[in-house]
Amino acid sequence: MDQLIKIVRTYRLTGGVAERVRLAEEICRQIAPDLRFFVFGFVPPSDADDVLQNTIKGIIGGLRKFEGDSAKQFWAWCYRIARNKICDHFREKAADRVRYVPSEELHRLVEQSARDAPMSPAVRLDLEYAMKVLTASKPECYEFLWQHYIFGLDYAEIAEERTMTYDNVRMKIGRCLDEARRLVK
Amino acid sequence: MPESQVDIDMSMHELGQRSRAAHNKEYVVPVGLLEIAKDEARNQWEIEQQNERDRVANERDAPKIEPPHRAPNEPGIEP
Repeated sequence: MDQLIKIVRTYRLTGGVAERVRLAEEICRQIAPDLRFFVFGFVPPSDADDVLQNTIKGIIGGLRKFEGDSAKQFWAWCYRIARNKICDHFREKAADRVRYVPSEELHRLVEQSARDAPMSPAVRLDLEYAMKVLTASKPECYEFLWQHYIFGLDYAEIAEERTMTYDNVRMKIGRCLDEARRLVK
Repeated sequence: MPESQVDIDMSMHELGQRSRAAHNKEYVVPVGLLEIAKDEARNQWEIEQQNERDRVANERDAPKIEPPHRAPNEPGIEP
């Protein structure tokens, strides 16, 4: 069984405060990197850590209420909380959600990755184009494209998190990609 | 520029893989965030303890409801 879900189950069954605190730290250590990247897709870097903190608080605070028993369900639950916290953030700031695209940060990360895994000029051009497609996409599509391609969730995981069917997610992403490509042209 | 759907699909995935890998390589979970998680676990535990104490106190203080008194010959509903 997945190590993370074992820790989550133990947390739910544990009555002692010291053990719960230790488990909460371990859960945070395991989920924070992924959640930070998730948040980073929608919120400017200056606010991302605040949103991440609220997400972690929401997750630890609600752990005893989480009713799933697989890692997949747990992650879907975490992403739902992260998405809610992102919405709360934009509501508080009265800002237009998802108009933010971390293009500069993505460029920087891609350049950084090129140090470990060098890329040909052709691949570099393809990635530039992919970034343009992502940036050109409409807000609702951007969320799906980011989650699937950049964050790396598969169709089933997105379907679980958004309570949609697998086929609806697959078709939605296909349509969004087509539309964004047309906008780039 | 990738032309086919398959090519753009691959490029988008590669963009994701590279940026994820670079992000996870440079990101270290801050100690402050771990402390927030621990504080939240403590808070939740205290809330649960308080709720439990309240529940026990409510049960203890609630007036006991006696069954209605019935005289020995009073007609009642037979089982």
